[in-house]
Amino acid sequence: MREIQLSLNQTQKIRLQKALQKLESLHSKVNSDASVTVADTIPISLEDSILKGHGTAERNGEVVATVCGVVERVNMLVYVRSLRSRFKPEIGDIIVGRVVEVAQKRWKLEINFNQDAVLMLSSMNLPDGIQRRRTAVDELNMRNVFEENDVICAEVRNFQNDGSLQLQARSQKYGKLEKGQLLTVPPYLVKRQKQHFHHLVQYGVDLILGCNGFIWVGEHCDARDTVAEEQLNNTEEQNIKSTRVSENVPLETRRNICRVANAVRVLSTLGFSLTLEVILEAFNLSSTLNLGIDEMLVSEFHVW
Amino acid sequence: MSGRAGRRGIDDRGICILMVDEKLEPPTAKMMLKGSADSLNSAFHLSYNMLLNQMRCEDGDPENLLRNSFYQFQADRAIPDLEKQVKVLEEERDSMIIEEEDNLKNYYDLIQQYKSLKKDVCDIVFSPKYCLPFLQAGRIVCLQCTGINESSPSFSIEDKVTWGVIINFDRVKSFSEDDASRKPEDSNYTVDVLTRCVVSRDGIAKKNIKIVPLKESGEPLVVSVSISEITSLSSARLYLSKDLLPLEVRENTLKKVLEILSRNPTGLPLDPEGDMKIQSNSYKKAVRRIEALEHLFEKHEIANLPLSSKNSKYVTSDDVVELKGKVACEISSADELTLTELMFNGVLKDIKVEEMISLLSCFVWQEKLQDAAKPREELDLLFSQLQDTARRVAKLQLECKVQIDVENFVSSFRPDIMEAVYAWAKGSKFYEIMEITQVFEGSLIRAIRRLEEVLQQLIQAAKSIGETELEAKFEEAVSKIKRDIVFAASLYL
Repeated sequence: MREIQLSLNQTQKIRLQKALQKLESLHSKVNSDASVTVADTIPISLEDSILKGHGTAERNGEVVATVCGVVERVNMLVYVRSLRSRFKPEIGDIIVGRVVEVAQKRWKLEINFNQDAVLMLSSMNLPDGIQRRRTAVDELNMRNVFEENDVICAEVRNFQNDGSLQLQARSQKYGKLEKGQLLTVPPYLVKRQKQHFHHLVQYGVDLILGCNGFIWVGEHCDARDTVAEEQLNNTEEQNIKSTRVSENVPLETRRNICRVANAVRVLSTLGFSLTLEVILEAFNLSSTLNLGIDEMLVSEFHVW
Repeated sequence: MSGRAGRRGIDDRGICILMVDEKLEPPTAKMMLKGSADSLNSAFHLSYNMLLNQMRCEDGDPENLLRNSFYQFQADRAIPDLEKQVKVLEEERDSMIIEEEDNLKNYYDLIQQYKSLKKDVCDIVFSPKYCLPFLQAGRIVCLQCTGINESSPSFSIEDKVTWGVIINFDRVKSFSEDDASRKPEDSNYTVDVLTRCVVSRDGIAKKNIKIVPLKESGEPLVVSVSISEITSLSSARLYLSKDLLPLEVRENTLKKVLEILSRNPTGLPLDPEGDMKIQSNSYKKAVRRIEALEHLFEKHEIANLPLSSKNSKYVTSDDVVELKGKVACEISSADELTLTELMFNGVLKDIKVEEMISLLSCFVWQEKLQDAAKPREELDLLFSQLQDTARRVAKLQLECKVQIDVENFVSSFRPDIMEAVYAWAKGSKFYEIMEITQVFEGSLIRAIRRLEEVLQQLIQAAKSIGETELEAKFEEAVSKIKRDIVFAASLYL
């Protein structure tokens, strides 16, 4: 757990220490032999033919770890799973990103990776929904679909030769995200699960946990028709829309959005893995108190 | 009939003249000319690869895929017919009134079990290994009468049997190719028996010989029966006269049999364990089981494929694809589960590149070749490792109640072209490897090309688990086989 950049007074510090000890006692079952640091030798029996996976290297005939982490074994494969690392994308991951550039027939998105991800024009549904070849007119209208600094949610399609990601947003639930907040958390806190899109019905809030550490909390949208609307009457609608944004989100929903976002912030600072249940529990706990820094101390006693 | 006369798009009428050179029945000719096309039956099969790839992305819904497939559509279409059949059968069943149905059902089940177990015992007792010494001329045997259908259920434990005298026995020459490898004790035998028969002549002038009980009317004849029709051997032996052609001699022999029977109603059966000295364990087990009957049931499960993946760490309990699953996602040209298991067991790591290539060739060769040469020692060892892995995978599937035949699955991997591919990887020319095996050139080329595809997918898979040595090995393998005429894009060189 990284140092918490909070100014805690004495009693709060003591409470934090107690909670940490409680957590550690619960997790003492974890095999401490399995964790290694850089340049530790990994114990293997030399007669078997061991496959060396990620995070390992061979030095002087021994298998040595190159990252700090936990040693995992699958049949004959030995690899080191690091606990804290950069975002490592897989095919099929849900990503939330921000547009940084509108290039020729593609958008470039920033996604907390060492390179910008690419979203091709052909990987995006056309506004009128027809399946056809993208023409030059479509290319000229790209800016009407997504502009710079728009937040988009998409899925990883494959890797390109240079290692950058190619995304696709072909389904109705992908696309531009509006009326909400974007949060940044360390990417290793978001584990891969069956579902990353969560719709909190009782609060009317959409929660999207991007695997790259970008989390979106916003008002619930049933279908992403925003693109279709924009194509119809450009100028007038845009003016009306900007006023509509702030009007249409009711106060209660906005409060809920902020509360959920704060719950996520707190959990990420304390180093909890982000799943729907944990976020909801933190949310419920904080409903009894006010929002704000006070909430953070309460979640110390919150052992999951 | 396929094909038609005339130019496409220009002629709307054409004339076909059929030259028939052998006798055709009118219905057959009609079917040839006017018959309907082959019906299109879907053979849709959801492979593990597809299942894992679906689970990888959030939207993947394999059940939806199955539900919307053509296979399901055809199955649904067939439902009304099946329902009609069910109704008809139900009416038939309701119209038959049986008293005390439950008890009767139990009794019937027990009888069936008893019969099957008795048959097992008979098979063991009458395997040529044990009974050949006792098939001497003059021994009295108990036979089954012909005309007993196995399909019509009989409610008694007693079979319709009769008695006869062994004259001789002979070995059957079977037409299968494995004849040379069969030992004499395993092949089939027929026994010539003198017993009471009824000869009738069919309309097409074929003789039909039926064996009937001794006391009924008929003639004493010598017939050949296979060993399976003999129910038991007797310890009594008769003195046979040398010449059995005259009718009276045969009648007398049968009369002697009747006399022995009347004196000893049971017929003095040979005790299997005592006299024939059958010691095998299976026999004892079968006998014990006859005393303790058991019921077996089979269940039929269709969509249990994901379970077996979970059992072997391909997918976690939350249906998130794990590392092994990711490797299996990459492989689509060969059997993904077996190949993934092989890779993770380190089998592919230690062996040389050429040996690895020939091992992988077993995955892409699906034809059955007769008289295939056995590959050399090292390759054979690798092949047996492959078979072990395949057997384990099949057993795992069986445990998860997927309908699969283990031995069939294991024998679908054929080592026929291992030698040829080994030579190709070592750098031989194409005409040299054609001399090694007898397959068609095109099949071999197709197999090698498919092998290259599998290797490319394996490169991706090795990359995903981070094993750089293995990846380099696969790439080297690709460069060794991708050359010359096999991979020539066009034959106009």
